[in-house]
Order: sequence, then structure tokens, then C-alpha cells
Amino acid sequence: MQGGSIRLEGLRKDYGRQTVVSDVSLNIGSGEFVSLLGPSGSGKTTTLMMIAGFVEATAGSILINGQDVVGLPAQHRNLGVVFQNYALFPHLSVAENIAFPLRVRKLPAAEIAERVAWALDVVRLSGFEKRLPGALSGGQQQRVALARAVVFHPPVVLMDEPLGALDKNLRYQMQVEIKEIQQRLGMTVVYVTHDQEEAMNMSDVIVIMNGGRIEQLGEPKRVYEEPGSIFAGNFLGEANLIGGRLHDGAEGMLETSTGRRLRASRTFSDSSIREPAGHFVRPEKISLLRERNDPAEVENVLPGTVSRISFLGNVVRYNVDIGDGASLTVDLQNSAGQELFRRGEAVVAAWNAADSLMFRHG
Amino acid sequence: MRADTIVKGIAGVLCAALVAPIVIVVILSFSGDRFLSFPPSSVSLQWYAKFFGDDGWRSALFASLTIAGATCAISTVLGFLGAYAFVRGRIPAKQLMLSFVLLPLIVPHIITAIALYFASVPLGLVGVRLWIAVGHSVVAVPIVVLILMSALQGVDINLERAALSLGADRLTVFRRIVLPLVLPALMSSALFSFLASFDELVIALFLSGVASETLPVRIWNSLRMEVEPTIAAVSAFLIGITVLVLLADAAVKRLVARRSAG
Amino acid sequence: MVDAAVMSRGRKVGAKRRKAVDPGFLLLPLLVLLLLVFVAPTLWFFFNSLRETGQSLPEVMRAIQSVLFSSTIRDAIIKTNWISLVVTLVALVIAYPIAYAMSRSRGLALTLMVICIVLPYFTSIIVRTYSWMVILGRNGLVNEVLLQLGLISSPLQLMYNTSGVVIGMTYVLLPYLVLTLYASMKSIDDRLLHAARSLGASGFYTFRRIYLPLTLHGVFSGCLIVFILSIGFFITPALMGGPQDMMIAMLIEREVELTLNWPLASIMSLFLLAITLVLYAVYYRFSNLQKMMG
Repeated sequence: MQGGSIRLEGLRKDYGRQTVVSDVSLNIGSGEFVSLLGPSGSGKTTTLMMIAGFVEATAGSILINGQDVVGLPAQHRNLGVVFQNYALFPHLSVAENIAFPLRVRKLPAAEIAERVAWALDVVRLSGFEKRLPGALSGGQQQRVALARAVVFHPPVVLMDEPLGALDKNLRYQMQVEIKEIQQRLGMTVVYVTHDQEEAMNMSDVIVIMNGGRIEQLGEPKRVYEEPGSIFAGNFLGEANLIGGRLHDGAEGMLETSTGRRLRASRTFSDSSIREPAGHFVRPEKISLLRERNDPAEVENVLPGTVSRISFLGNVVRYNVDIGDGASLTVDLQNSAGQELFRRGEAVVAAWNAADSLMFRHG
Repeated sequence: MRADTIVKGIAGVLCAALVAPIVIVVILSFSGDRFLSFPPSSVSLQWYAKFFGDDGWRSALFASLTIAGATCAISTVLGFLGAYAFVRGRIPAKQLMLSFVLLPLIVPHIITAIALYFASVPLGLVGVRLWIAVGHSVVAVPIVVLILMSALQGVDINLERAALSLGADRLTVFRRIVLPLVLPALMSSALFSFLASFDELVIALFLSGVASETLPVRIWNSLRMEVEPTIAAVSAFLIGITVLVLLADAAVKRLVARRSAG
Repeated sequence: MVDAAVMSRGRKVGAKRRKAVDPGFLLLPLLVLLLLVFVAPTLWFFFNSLRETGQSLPEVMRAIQSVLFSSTIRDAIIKTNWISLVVTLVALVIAYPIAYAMSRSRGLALTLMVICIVLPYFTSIIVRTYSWMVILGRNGLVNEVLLQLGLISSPLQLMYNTSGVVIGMTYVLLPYLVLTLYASMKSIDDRLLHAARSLGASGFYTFRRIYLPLTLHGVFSGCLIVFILSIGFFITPALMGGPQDMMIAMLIEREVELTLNWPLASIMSLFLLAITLVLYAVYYRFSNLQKMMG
């Protein structure tokens, strides 16, 4: 089985005067797992629905294996779709649900039986053929939906928040399983989610959407480490943004209101920032030191006072007051033998310029 | 809570008072007396024998059944299509359009009836049973639309999308997915549209002429002249039909509940 | 494993490129029925009958005016509104506790109450009216009992008067109100009442400040429906009313059946229709149409 490719060109959707998706262009290669990630209202589901053919595109083109499918009714697009609430036919058994796409294609009975058995085996649900969907657990229903979407070997499988209804533990387990099946079958998957951990765990490429546009796209690690915008940076995880003004002395240098200088490895422009510039650093990149040891080898150092300690299990999160009403979030591993800082304790926060970015207004 | 108990007691009495008239009519219909009085001093089936033995009543029953059957067919089909259009289609001014479709329930039947009568006389349609059924469909179809709209709204649109994405065409989606899922509601609406026509008086009163007198029309005529005791049996028969329809509806619903639970 | 190429033989992707048809067109047959059998006859009837009353619009308007202000019609209009109002209020007083008890019950008690409401609801109006004629008639159940108990010496006139009409109509229209109220009471979140009690409110205070206001919407739409159906009512008042209980719908029927006075009938119909539509517009504005029949 060989996954197909998808190419979106200037895709746009208007509802009356409101634009929900504007100018989305995207290239998805064969066998790639691509997540559309964004908050609700970012246009990710509408984009998926346009690819599936349930929503008519206002402008732009959708090419599947090089063939434009805009205007082609959903039933002729030959795409597998997994829906948020599974959309299993409640009056048909598990086997009949999976056989549905084969029956409408009028395959011979023997082949249908063979393929249904294969699909059930893929999702490890053999033995459940006769059950009705209502008698299955959420995770099992999810597997049936997946089996039904892959049984006719569509070139592309679209998934619309397929794990949204599952609880946290099961969700992680299913992520691993879906990813494993996708790799084994070489499927091309377009996956919509609002959960950044899910997107990072499964995707080859993450597409961050905001306000109907693509905010940024790239491999999970790169998008996380080097968000091209403050929105992307915040959406993928906790982040600190320390405001200040540009320092003329060196590239990527910022001066805080308390006169401290912070250096970053790269600089991006972002119009959403209120101050002239902002220094961006993730909480887990910062280390905290007792005041007396002054680190020489680290570029960025800020003294402060611990104002709040949150014990989160594997991580201890500190809020450090760095003066002028600003504070810094720092995550430290809850590793063995470590002495916790106390509230009110004077500390020094330190991090490398390589782990931080600068955003300048504009 | 004490107040709750008092209210429930009052409600119980009121509820009993609501069915009482119907129960009384049923009991009365089995009276063996020469004149109806309550409670009857003896029991017999004489009024039923009179009802089914009388040519006039028999032909009224037959007329009612044919008309109700035709109404049921017309309004269920048109109502189903309409309900599907309302739930899944793009219809300009949808709410206003719905209010128009429901209008026959609201407009006094007497107006609908005489307007239909006024138009039917020159066309020679008075007394034509199919025409009466068409007239009844106007007031039965809103009921069908209401029942099926709520059933269709319960069918997740993603089920239809899923079927489409799996390669089924519109007709297959309709036949294999939508129809089986709303079948119980479809049966309900068939039952209730049948009942709506079977019980309808005002439109039938004007359109039936002499040839196609329905049961309610005959009861009406009888009540306006002198009240013949047979009416108790006819009424009890109509009540029986209602009970049958309600039982059938409950049976369908129970069947569905059991099936979806299994 | 099966080859992907096998799959494409059933469907030729790209072969059919016609646009998906919106299912909205399925409404058309229904619209045609309503236009041909409901709207057209009504307009035809009004147009032709009113044309007989005068050559020009002012003449027709004068004719309408003189009809509506004649004492018979004026009395019928007042009577119709009065009876409808009384029926609505009596129905509300009876329906509210029933609906309340239903919303607070479950199991067998609820089933029994539902049967008590639904069985009459779906029984033919003429049968329901007949049942009350049996009870309230000169030799009816009530008179029999009172005579046997010696409380009266000659039968009371319980029917063929206004109270007979009110009893009959209330009985027929009550289920609409009960079902509407039940739906609105059922949707009230119990936790709101618990919250009120936990904040120190008494049972009665909770009812008055929380429960009652939350049901007012149902009360309003239910009463509106009952009133709308009352003013056009025909069967029950015609059978149970006396000569002084002439309602508009009965007048219309009489003009058509007895005197074949189509113009008069059409003017009264137009008036009745106008009131109905205005009230329906109010209902449309305030309520969910889909909940109309409970």
C-alpha cells in the first residue's frame, strides 16, 4: 500500500462575509503524517472538510495525486475519513460497518470477507465482527472507525480529532497505535487536533493554524524549539516572554526594564508583541541557582526571588519574581536527591542564548 | 417534601378525571339496556352488532379506512421528504418556511374546510375519496414533518458524511443509512397520520358529500339529530383504534430501544 | 496484502464531476401540495366571495366594516374571545399541577399519568365531545347521581350553555398545555433548585423565585397555542353550546350550510384568519416551532 500525495493551493472558504479559511497552501508527501493544529475557530476542521468534500471550497484547488478534486462529490474522492465521534453506523455490526465501502464498490463476497478480516486484524479487533457499535467501548469504536477508513486502501486518510472523546491514558495508547498502523501501511494521514502533545507525538509535520491561516509549519521539534511567532510558541507549550527594548550593541540583544541584557540566537518579527521586543525562552531551558554561585559560562542571567512553587509530579514549577512586576516560569525536573527551593528564596535564573529567541515588533 | 405530595395527589385526581369520560364511553358501549344510562344494568354487544350490522355505518367505516390509508401514504411520503429537506437541506428562510408548513395545524379547520369545499364544488370533487385524503394530508403532513424532523436531527450528519466518504452515492446513503435509522419514526408518523385522518371531522364534513360519509361525519350527523345509542359503540371503536395506534407506537419504540441496547 | 489498484475498478475517480445536489429540493412536493390544496383554495375562496360584496376596494372595505360592526358578529367576536380566554385560564390551572407532578415522577406513576394525557389527546375530538355530552346531558351521569342522592329534584341544565362549552373545550385542549408545560419543566436543572435551597430559600420561595420564572416561557407558549386553537374551535361549541354561545367558527359554518351566504362567511373567515395569523406570528417570535405539539 502506497500513500498518496496532497497539494493544497490557495484554499479559501467564506461563509457570507466571514472568511474561515484563507489562502492555505500545503504540500503533503506520500506516507507523511501531517497534523493541522490550532485552537477552535482556526479553520483546521473546515480545511479537512474541504479536502474530504463535505464543505465546498470558495477558492483554490485541492490536488490528490496531482488530480484536482474540487467540485468532485465526496463519494467519488476515495478518501478514508475518521470522524470525531467515530460516525459508526449504529444499526450495522462491526463487520458490516467495515464492509460498507467494499459493498458499495460491489466487490465479490469472498474478497469482502478477506479484507474485513485483514482490517480487523490490523486494528486488533478480530472476534468482534458480530457486535453492534453501541456495545463497544470508546477505544474499540475508535479502532472500528479506523479499520473502516483503511479497508478500501484510500490514498489518503483524514482524521478529525479522532481521539477527542477518549480519556487521557487511552488517548496516548491510541496515538501510539495509530502511528504504528500508519507507518506499517505507509498511509498518508491528515490529522486535525487541538492537542499539541498529540500533534507532536504523532506527526512528521505540524501545521499550526490560527485565524484561518497557516501560522507555521515544520517538524515537531523544530516548531517547538523555533516558533516563528509568539502565537505558535505559546500554543505548543509553556513559554516565557520577557519584554524590553532592543540593544544596539549586538544582534539578538535585548535590554530589560531593569537594565539587564539578554541574548538570543535568532530574531523573528511579530506584530502581536506590545513592547518593542521580547525575549522568548521555554521554562525547561532555564536552570535555577542559589545566589552565591554565579555562572560564568551561561549568556543569560537574571536574579530574582521565588514567589510560587507548584509541584506537578515529574516537574516542579517555580515562579520567579524578576523585578518591575515581571516574573519567569521555570520548570525543573523532580530528580532524585534534589533540594527544593523555598518560597522567598533569592535565586539566579540562567539559560543559554542558543535556547532562546528574540521577537521584535514589526 | 410535603407540598410535592399534595400536588401529586391533586394531579392524580385530575388525571383520573381526564380518562374517566373515555372509560365511561367504553363501558356504556357494552350496555345491554334499551336506553343508555350509567352504570349499565346489563352487559351485551347489541350496540356493536347494530354498528357492524348497519349498512350506513359499515360503509362509513370503509370510507374512513380508505381515506385514512391514502392520507397516511401521501403525508408520510411528502412529510418525510420535507423533513429531510428541512434538516439536511439549504432552504431560504428556513424557520419561516417551517412555520408555513405547520400553518395547517394553526389555521382554524373550518376555514380550510370551507375554502376547500368552495373550490371543490365547481370541480366536482365533493365526495371523491382520494380528494378527501388529499385534503386530510394538508393537516396530517405537519405532524409527520414534526415527528421526522426530530428523528432526523437525532441522526448524526457525520454518519451520512462517513457513508459518502466510503464511496456510497446519495441514494445508497438514503437507503442503507438514513432509512433504517429513522424507520421507527417513519412508522410512528405513518400511524399518527392515519389517526389524524381517521379522526378528522371538519374537513370531511364539507368534502364527504353523501357518498363518502366518514365515521366522524356520521357521528356528527347523528349527534345533531337525535342521539342514537349506537354512537357509544362507534365511539368506543374509535377509541380502540387510538389505543391500538398508541400501543403499536410504544411497541416500535420498545423494539428500537432493545435493539440499540443489544 | 491486497493491492490498492484493485480498488479503483469500482469507482472511476474524476469521472463524474457534477456538483452534489442540495437535498433542499425534496421540500418541493410538500410545498406543491400545500400551495394547491391549502393556499390556492383559500385565496380563491376569499377572492371570489369578497368580489360579490362590491365592485371596488372601498366598497368591499365598507362591506367588511358593516359586517364586523353588526351586532350579531360583534357579539360572536366578544363571546369567542371571552370563551377562549376562560378556557385557556381554566386549562392552565388544571395543567400546571399535572405537568409538575409528571416532571417529578418516574416509573409506573409517570407512565400512568402519560397515558391519562395521551389517550384523550389522540382520541377523536368528536368522541371526546360526545363523552362529555353523556356525562353532562339531561339524563347524563351527573344528573343521575345528583337525583339519586336527592340533592336535586329535577335535572340540571349542564349542557347547551356557556359552562358546557367551557368544560368540553377545556377537556379537548388541555393535553396541548400539559405537554408544553411538561417539556419546559422537564428541562429545568434540578441543581438550580438544590442551589436555591442550599442558599437558605424556603420551598415556596424557591418555587416562586426560581421554578415559576423558569416555566413562564412554557406557560406563555402553551397558553398561546390553546388560545389560538380555541378561537377557531367549532365542533365542541356547536354540539355543547346553547343558542347564546355562538362562536365565530359556528357562524361561518351556519352561513355556508344554511343560508349559503358565501360573502358573509368569507368576511368572518378573513377576520378569524387574521387574528389567528397575528397570534401565530407572536408564537413564532417567542417559541420553538418544533415544540408546537408538545
